[in-house]
Amino acid sequence: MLRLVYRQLVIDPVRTALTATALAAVVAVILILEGFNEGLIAQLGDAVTDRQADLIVTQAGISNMIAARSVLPQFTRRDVEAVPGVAVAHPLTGIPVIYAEGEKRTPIFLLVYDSRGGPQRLAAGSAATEPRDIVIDRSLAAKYGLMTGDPLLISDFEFRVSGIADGAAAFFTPFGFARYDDLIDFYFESDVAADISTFPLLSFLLVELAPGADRQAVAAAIETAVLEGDVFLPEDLAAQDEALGRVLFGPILQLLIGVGYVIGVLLTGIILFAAVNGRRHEFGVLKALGFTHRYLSTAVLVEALALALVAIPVGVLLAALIGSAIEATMPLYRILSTEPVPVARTAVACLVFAALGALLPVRLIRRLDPGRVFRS
Amino acid sequence: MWRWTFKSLLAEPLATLVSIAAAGGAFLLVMFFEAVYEGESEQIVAYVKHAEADVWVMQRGVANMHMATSYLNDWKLAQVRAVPGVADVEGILYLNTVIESGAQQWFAYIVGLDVPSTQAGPWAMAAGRDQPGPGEAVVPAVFADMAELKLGDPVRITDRDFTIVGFSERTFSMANSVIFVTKSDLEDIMSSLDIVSYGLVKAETGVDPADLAARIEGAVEKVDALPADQFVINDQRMAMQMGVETIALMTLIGGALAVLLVAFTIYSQVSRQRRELAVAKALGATNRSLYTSVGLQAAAITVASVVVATLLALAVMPLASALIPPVTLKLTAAAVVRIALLGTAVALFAALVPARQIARVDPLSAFQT
Repeated sequence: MLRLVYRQLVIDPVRTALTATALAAVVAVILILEGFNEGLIAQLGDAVTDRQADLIVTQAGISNMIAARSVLPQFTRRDVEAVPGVAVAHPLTGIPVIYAEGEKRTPIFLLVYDSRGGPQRLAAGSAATEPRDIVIDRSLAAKYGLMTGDPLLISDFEFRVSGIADGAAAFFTPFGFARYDDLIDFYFESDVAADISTFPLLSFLLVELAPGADRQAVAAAIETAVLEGDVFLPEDLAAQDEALGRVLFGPILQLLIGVGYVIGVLLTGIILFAAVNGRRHEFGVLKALGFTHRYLSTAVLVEALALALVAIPVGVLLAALIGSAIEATMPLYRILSTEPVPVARTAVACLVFAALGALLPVRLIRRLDPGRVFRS
Repeated sequence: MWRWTFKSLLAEPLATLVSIAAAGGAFLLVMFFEAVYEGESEQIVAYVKHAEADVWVMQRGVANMHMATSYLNDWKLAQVRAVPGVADVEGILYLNTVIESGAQQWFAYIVGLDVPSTQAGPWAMAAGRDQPGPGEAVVPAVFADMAELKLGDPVRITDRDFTIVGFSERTFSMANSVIFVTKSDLEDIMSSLDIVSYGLVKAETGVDPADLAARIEGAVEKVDALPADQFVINDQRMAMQMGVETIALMTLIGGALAVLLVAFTIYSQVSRQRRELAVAKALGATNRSLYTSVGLQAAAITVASVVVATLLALAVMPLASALIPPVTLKLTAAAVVRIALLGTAVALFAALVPARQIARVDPLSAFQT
């Protein structure tokens, strides 16, 4: 049986390669779609956990970090630091701004930090240390051809790019990181607001615990002592943002992924049908030589599964390559196309597609008249 | 030639049908992606398109609404109103943030209206009132369906609960669903006073919006003014970067798969006829007529595939929209034509490869097997 399948596959290597490539392309497209979804969600979670806090305090009633406006009264920092178990409450302010150059415009989430919450991974340059320094995400630098040392004009306030960060983007928005020392100057010198009170001076507090302090106990103590804020474990706040991402992008991405799967099933069946249909003559000969329908059907099924087994790793590799190419050209996106769960899900789906796809050729073989071989 | 081409296609109807189904499946995938892209692109600027403004006035340096932050002292609107050619102006306050209702969260534009609003409120209602009062909100009907909300239910914006008094139509999209509250309520949320985000200017009859925008910029300090059509274009351009660009990229990937599969299908179809084509050549058919026949078959299969895919898409899309209300699907004739043209070009190219092999075949080889 295996020998027959092997010979069927190698007798026309071009056709076998084309069929496996077509199947691999189906696998790759599904993995890329899954990878987009996974990447978008992961970016939202990382945007929170990268701030390196033991606990995060938000405005009361706000349970998200990205895409939500959080404004804490200034005195909240003092109140939080007065809670036993809190070593430092590092301030962090998030301001949505738009960077414009010529006709091009890009929204930026400007994170203003003091002693914690800055960029985690620098691709070039250094963190903001001098007045007017700013670190920007790689996607913004790539889009506008910005390098370290270049000026960056936001709302008539000139920053200087001191560093370029990797993986500092979420919600389709690159981040910029500036220091608190520049925040007031930014508000006063720029045209961002007619009334400065409209803009937040403090959005979040990144709580650093004293050695040995219990996170849950301190969180409960802050919740009781500071009515203006809500307290989250970073992983919980990250989960909130990820859940929001799933709600926002889920319907569209799941629809596209679902359509990808349905069409994947159809195409796999059609591709395998075409592969068998092109060899009806050979199957007729085998039938005339006494091979049973059951034997030949099993051979077709094994062949389909073998093609799928070849296509899966090729598809994963193809998805990884395409994902890397997309990330390299459009660094705003993260494509997690080789995450174990989606890969396993797609691999199982591909094998099921192949088995379902083999049903059509099996019917074809059942109806095949061995006498036809001798008439041609 | 035509007759022979037609007969070739019908000689193996099952194989031809399978080819049409394969290419049609690939086209259907692209059509779905295109429909999502078109639908979201249109829906994402629904508010700025429907707001009754000939000119939008905003803080200097701002040129759109999506993800933008714009603040103007409201006395500047009085200055705008005094500019010759301005019939009326209405200010709105605007914030983008996350709203909550029960366990459902959504990212939304919150628009604070000076009620009664004549220019900036919802333009179509599914139920309830279109003008919110203090502590009240008008939310998109699609969001209400998703969160299973009824009129009178609460919705939370930051730390404040609002009572839902109306469900608006066509105000929902993946990137910017619009919630309407009163301007004073939004001022409370934002801790701001006497501030507006945008001024929606109505021009007097016969006044050119571009001229009026220039006059407003000249007359009022530190504001930008844009004609509505330019403002819509700017907003769409910005919104496209945030999410819709992802769909465009997916469409491109789906398109690449479709190209590959169409090429595979047509290549298989023509390869299957290699022997017949060699016989035809032996019987005196010229290379030109062989190329024409192969090209016609490829074009016929492609056109049939596009027709099948379009019919399937038109049948399935209303069902998909009903099942997944947050997603807006719109299949345009331009998208179908674009897919058909691209598909035909790919099919012709894919058919050329085996056709070239046949053109080089020795006619005698047809009789050697």
